[in-house]
Amino acid sequence: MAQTPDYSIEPLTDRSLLIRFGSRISRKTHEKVLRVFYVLQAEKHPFIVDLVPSYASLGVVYDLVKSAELPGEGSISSKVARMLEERLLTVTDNRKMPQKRRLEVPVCYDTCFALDLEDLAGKKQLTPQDIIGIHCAKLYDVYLLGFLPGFAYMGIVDDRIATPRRSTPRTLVPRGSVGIAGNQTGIYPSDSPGGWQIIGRTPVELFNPSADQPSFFLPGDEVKFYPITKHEFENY
Amino acid sequence: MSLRIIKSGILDTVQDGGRQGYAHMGIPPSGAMDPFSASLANAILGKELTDPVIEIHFPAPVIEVTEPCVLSVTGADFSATINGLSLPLCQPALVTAGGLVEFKKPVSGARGYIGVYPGLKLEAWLNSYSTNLQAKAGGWEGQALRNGDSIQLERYTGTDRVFKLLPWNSRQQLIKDRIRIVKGPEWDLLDENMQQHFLNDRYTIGRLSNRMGFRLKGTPLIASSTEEMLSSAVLAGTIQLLPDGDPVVLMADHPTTGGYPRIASVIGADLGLLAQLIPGSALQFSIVDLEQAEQLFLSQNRYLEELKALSDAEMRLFLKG
Repeated sequence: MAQTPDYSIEPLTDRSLLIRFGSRISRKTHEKVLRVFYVLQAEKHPFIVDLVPSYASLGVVYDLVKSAELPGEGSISSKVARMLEERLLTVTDNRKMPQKRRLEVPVCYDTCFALDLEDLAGKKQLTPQDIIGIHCAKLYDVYLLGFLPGFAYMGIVDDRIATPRRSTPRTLVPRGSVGIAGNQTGIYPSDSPGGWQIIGRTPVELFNPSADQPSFFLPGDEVKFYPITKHEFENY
Repeated sequence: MSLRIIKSGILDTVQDGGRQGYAHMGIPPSGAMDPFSASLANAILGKELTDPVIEIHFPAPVIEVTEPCVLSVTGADFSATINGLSLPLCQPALVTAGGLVEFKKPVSGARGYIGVYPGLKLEAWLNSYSTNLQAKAGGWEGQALRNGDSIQLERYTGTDRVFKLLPWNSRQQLIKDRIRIVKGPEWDLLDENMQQHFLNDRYTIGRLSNRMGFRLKGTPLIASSTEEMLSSAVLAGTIQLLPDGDPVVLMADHPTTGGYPRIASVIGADLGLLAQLIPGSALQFSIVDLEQAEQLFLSQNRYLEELKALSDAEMRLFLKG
C-alpha cells in the first residue's frame, strides 16, 4: 500500500518553501527528505531553482516570475505548495531510490593532524586508539552539505566519542581536517575558522571547482573512514 | 579589448543574477548584493538582466577602457567620472579607447554596479559568472579584482567612437531605511512582546557586516525556546536570531544551511535597499504578507524588463549612427 511521507509545507522566504519531515536526526526521517529531494531533482521542474536537503527538512527555492504562471488562485507560494503536495503524493516508500554511494575515506590520525584527539581521549577516559577505532567502526550517512561548499555533515557518531564543539573556535582549521561536533562528524574542505573537535586529516580533495561534480560528498552518501599512516598521507 | 584595473578598490567582484542549482553541495548563489541595481545596470543597456556586472564598494577601482564600449553605473553614488567628466547614475555612456573611469567620493549607498555593453568575456563556472569568494571559483578567477587585472570585452560594433552620454536614462531606487519583511518559519519562537520589539525598534547595521551577512545591533531579542535547532535551509534575506539576541540578515555569500531560528526574511524587492545601507546606518522593519511581497518583486521585475526593451531599441538606433 502506498504510504505518503508525513510532512508539512510552509513558506521559508517570499520565494522559497520549507518541507518539514520531522524534528530530530534519524535515518528514517532523513530517508523521507532524500526521497523527495531525488524526485524533485529528477523531475527538473523549470520553476524550481534550488533544493536544499538537510536533516529533517527540504528547502525548495523557486523562480517567482516562472512560478507566477502556475495554475490556481492565491499567492505564488501557495500555488507552488499545492504543486509540491501533488508531487509528494507520488513519492511512496516503494519507489526506487538511487543506489547509495559507499565511499571509503582515508584519515591520518597522527598527532600532528589530530589537534584535539588527546584532549578528547582524556575527557572520554579512552585511549586515542580507542577513539580512532570507534570513529572508523561505523558506516555514516551524509545528511547534508552546508556551512562551506563541500562540507558534509555525517552521522550518527557513537555516544562514546560524541562531544560538543570547542568553546573557543579556531581561527584556522586546516583543509582536510576531520572533526566531531555533537553526534556529527565532518571534514573541512578548505582552510576555515571552525569549532569542531579535530581528530585527524584526510588527503582526499573534498571540493574541486574544476571537477564535473565539484563536491566529493553528496547528500545520501554512506561513508566509512579507515586509518592511514603519515607516510601514506604524504604519498596519497 | 579590455577593462584594465589600474588601481583596485576595496572589494570589486564580478557578479550576476546568481548561481542557482548547487545549494545541495553547499554552494550558495553568491551574486549581486543589490540585485535590483545590478539588473538596472544591464537593463539600461538593453541587456539580459542577469548578465555579469562589476560590483564595487568605496574606495572604488580606477579602470582604464582599452577599446570602446558603453558603460552604465547604478546603485551607490560614488561620483563616477570618465576622463574627469561626471557620469550620472543610470545613464549609458560611450567610452572610447583610453577612457579612464574613476569614482571620486562616496555620496550615498554602499555598493555600485558597472554594466558593460556589449559585455564582459568570462568563463562561467556552474552556469554563472558570479564570484564565490569562499570556493575561490567563478567570476574573475574566483577572487576580487587586483591591480593589473584585465577583463576581456566583447567587441563593440558601433561606428561612433566619440565619448558621449547616450540620450536615455532611468531613475534610481531611493535610499530607504524601512525594510519590509515576511515572517519566517521560527517567527513564533518570539513571543508577542519580542515580535513588537522586532517590528518597532530601530536597528543599527554592525561594523562586522559584509557579503555574508549584516549583523544588527539594537534591543536584544529573546526566543521563548533555547532548544537547538537542526541545521536547515537559509537564503539571502533570511534573518536569524543569534544566541546573544542579535538578529543577523544573511546576504549574498550566505552559507546554505543554518542552525539558528529564522524569525523573518527581507523581501526580495527590498534586499537591494538593505544592501545599500552602510555599517552604522539605522533601519526599521515593517511586515508585509506573502502576496504583497511577491507582487512587489514582480512589479519591480516588470519595470526592469520594460526598461530593457526600451533601452534595447534605443541602443540599436544609436549603433546605426
